Amino acid sequence: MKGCMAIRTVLLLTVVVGAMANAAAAQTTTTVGQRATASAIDDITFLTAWKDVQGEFATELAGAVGPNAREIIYRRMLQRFIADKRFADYDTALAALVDELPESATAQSTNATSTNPGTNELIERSGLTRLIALSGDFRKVFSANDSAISVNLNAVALVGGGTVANRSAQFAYATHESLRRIGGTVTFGGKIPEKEITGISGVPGAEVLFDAMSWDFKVRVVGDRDPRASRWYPLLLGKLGTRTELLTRIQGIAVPNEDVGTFLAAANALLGQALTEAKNQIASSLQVSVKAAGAHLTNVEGKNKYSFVVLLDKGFASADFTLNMKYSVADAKDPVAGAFKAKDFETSAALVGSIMEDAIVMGRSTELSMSFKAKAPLDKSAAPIAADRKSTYHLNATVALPFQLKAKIPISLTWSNDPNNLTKQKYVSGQIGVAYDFGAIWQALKAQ
Amino acid sequence: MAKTTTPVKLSKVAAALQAALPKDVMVIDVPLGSEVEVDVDVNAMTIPYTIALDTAVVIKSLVDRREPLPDMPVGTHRLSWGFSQTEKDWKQKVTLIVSGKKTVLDEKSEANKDKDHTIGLAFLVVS
Repeated sequence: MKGCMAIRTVLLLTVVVGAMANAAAAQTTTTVGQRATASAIDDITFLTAWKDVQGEFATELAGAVGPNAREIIYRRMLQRFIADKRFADYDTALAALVDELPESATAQSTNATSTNPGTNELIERSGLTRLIALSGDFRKVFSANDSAISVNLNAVALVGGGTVANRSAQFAYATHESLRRIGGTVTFGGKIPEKEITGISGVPGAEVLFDAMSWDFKVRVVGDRDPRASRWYPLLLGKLGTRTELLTRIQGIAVPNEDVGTFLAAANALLGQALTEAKNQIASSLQVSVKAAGAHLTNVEGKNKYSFVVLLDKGFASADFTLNMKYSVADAKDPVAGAFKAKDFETSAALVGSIMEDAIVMGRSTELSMSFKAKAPLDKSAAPIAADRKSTYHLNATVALPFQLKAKIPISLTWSNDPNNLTKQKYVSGQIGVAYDFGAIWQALKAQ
Repeated sequence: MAKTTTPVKLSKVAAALQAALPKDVMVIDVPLGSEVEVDVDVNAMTIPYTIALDTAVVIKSLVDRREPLPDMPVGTHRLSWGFSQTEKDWKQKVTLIVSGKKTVLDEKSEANKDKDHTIGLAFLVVS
């Protein structure tokens, strides 16, 4: 198939079973009376604000008949109450809680997809592992080639997390927050054709596979989708913490017994709405990372590839947009012209969204993604092997079906005009991947 | 929403109040002068939870706490709690301890597919 110029449509059916397990989250010991309660809203301000709201809605409430009508009025009253300007300053006055400060839409990536020659995924998310993660891109199950293993490390793993008694997850996160921006991956054990390094197949032959290893160094430069990050303190500790307090305290106000249920329901509805809005704000926030990467054929000298990649994630409504832009330089050799540098620019984009919530597994959704990748050579004049230096395009659609509590079964279809993909198909026609973030184990150990 | 560890026979006043309230709002008898504590057990949190008695904050925290309630005069008192959860594997458990006797007021978790937010209320009848 080498050198074929006709556009071919390649259908790759990939079934990936990812078993994701989560260790029990940190659980700290009970402290009796050792910590002052953080609350800056004095009773007078609290009660005065509620009295004002009661006065404003007294007529409407008196005229409301039936639990539904009264719940609507109560909800409006509570909405007005928690939005009272007298509580605005308090939203940011929660510094004391940082002393005990303690993961979804964090856009994590554990196997350096954009520069890992051992995977057939098209895009890489901008986030990093919490601590250390192990990923396997296994091929033996479907097509009898060796498997690539990735070790993904956050810089925090190098300094240790430490154990802090009765402190929250946010406290531990804040301890090394800047280090959490940095991560790296080493991938080894994979067998790949020369084309995956140089962009050119045929020397010595497209069917010959080489031992390969790759590495990357990744830095998150914009944003952080982890709710434990300090950039979310004003939203979570401040705004949401204040609203939770106000809607809890107001239950201490005497309301008629027949209204207790509706008053409680109104408060729960408002808190749920505020929490959903906050989660959406975090999940859709911009996150950008940059990384440098290298890939090497371990048994062949002078076959190296170096890449620089920009990774971006941004949420829009219920979908998440991911963009990768990669510039790479690889050692290549032409039978006539001799050694030269093969330079490429690659752009990958994807839209990921959730559909059919609760349809297959209660509490879980089916994940739907569409991705596109375009790769263009930047040095055509230097490469007589023109057949392999054409621009290529890939279009991928994936449906990830939820399975039991944590597992996913992604089913993907990929179309490509890459003339090398029919050869490539023999080693990527089926793939099983497993990823585990050891940060969860760290949390469980801290609880002991 | 709430469950008791052992069935308790209520006083007449408390029973009458319970009959007038929604079933998920508990009514608990508290003998005057009892030592009363609230124990909160949570997994990792990013939004502080609140425990309040008659609008006064008893606990506002992100981690496990156990605090005594202030002395309560004879009458009916409202004990409320509020939780907002963002972390994976979240859980929350609120236990009222009256002279050593425990009553679970609220116990929810992501594992049980409970809602990620809660405002709860119980009535304490001191007599």
